[in-house]
Amino acid sequence: MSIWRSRQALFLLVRRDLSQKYRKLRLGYLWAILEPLGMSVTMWFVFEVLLGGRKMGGQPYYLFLTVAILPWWWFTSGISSSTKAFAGFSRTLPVSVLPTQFSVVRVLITRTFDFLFSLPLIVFAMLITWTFPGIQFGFFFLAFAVQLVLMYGLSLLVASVSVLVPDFARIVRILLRAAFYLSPVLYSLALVPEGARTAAALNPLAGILTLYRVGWWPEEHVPMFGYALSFGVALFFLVAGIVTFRRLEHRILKEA
Amino acid sequence: MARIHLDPDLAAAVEFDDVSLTMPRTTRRKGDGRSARLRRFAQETSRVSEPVLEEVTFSVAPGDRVAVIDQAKRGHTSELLRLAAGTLIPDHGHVRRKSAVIPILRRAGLVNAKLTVRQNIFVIGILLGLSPDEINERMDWIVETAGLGKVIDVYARACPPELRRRIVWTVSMATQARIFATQGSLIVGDEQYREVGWSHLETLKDQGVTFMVAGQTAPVMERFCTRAIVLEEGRVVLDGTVAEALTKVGRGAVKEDEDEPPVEDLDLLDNRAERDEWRSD
Repeated sequence: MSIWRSRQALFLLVRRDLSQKYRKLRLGYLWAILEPLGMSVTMWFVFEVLLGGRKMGGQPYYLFLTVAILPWWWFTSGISSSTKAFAGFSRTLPVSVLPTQFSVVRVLITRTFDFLFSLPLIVFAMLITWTFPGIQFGFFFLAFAVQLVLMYGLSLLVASVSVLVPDFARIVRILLRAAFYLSPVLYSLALVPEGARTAAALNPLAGILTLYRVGWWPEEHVPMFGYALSFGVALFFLVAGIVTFRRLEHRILKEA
Repeated sequence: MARIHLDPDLAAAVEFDDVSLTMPRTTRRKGDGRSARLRRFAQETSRVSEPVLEEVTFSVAPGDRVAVIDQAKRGHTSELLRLAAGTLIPDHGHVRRKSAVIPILRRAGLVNAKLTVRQNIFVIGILLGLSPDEINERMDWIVETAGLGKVIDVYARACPPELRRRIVWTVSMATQARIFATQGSLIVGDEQYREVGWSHLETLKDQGVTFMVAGQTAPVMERFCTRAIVLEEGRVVLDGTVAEALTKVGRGAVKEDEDEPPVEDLDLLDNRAERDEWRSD
């Protein structure tokens, strides 16, 4: 694929993006950790300390939360910055002989590195709660791969549409906020009432976030059917993203 | 997935086959009054589709140096060059190219003020399809040709537009492509640098490199081009020698295209939106 041929260039630009982003800030790289850390501590305080009466998920809850909040942070930051993926490069598109989707991939990979940099937070949470994963931890990597596929499709879709419809970026923001509460970030899928579970599994993040967690809490596993549904929808978004991009590519280029 | 297809077996260097293109334009109300401002505000997003090229068919043989002139001077030549390079896709018809066409379109605007000159050379080179290794290899040539010895690690913010144009021009030449599509000054820089530019172009001429150039002055076209295409209302009205074209359009009518003013780069990873979201959660 043509993106693969320009991988050297891609990594050079991603490295530049990352260093530029972190150099500007006094605490630099620590921000990759501090932002999700702040979020997880707040959520933990509200749902475990203030409203601790009802157990929302596996114990220790702080670790349960952290394992899902980092991928969620990756998801939401990746998708919302993809709304600007083409607009941000509108000056270079007329002269760039690279594939058009290059800038979407560039944003996605930059965000993926942010996620990888924030992973020490999980180690930190494991150490303070002294809870370590079992053999099923391998599913963590599967979840990572599926999420990457889902995000590639969604980024392409969101980036293409938001060039042509500027309002779309705002719609995406609202949808992402809704998705935060509809996905099992704060809670376990087991808390969803029996009747609504199939509907919940239609959310690709439901399957993905559960897979991240099963290393520590094997009882979180949903039936095979649930995973099939979640990953099917993720695949659907991949195809939808690629098809939408291909159909809109000539119009995206005209906007530059 | 590649947007730009190459046809190594093509006899011509670039071939336009019945190409039509429309471009979206934003219409804006002019005037300073309050009502004009209000109308402008209301109309800002109203878009119209404007025909730019209609049923354009021609082919450029390898080694041709074609001047593209738009008689109405509405700047549709840059769309034609973008189509040639493949950074635009026609609505109808096909554009075929024998090898990669390097577009040299927005010169000064392409240089990012927030990066050093060296970093800019890398970024522009990458956009034009060079790999980082190739850029490293050709770095010495670029620095020497553009005379960047003293400013190579200076932030481009400090560089005058003239120097920025020179950077883009030299990096484009470093691609060693066989086909170029350039708009605006073909020869950039001060007196001394113009000589360097001309001698390089003369070498390329001898090597049979193909050029499509737009927005040139009459003397440059007469010295450099072998052929001219005149567009009017999106159609080719003349395809002949430079002398014929200049007679038709009028010598004084052709001017050198101005660069668009350099703008500060949009901050790609400006995550203000996310932070707002974070607050409301």
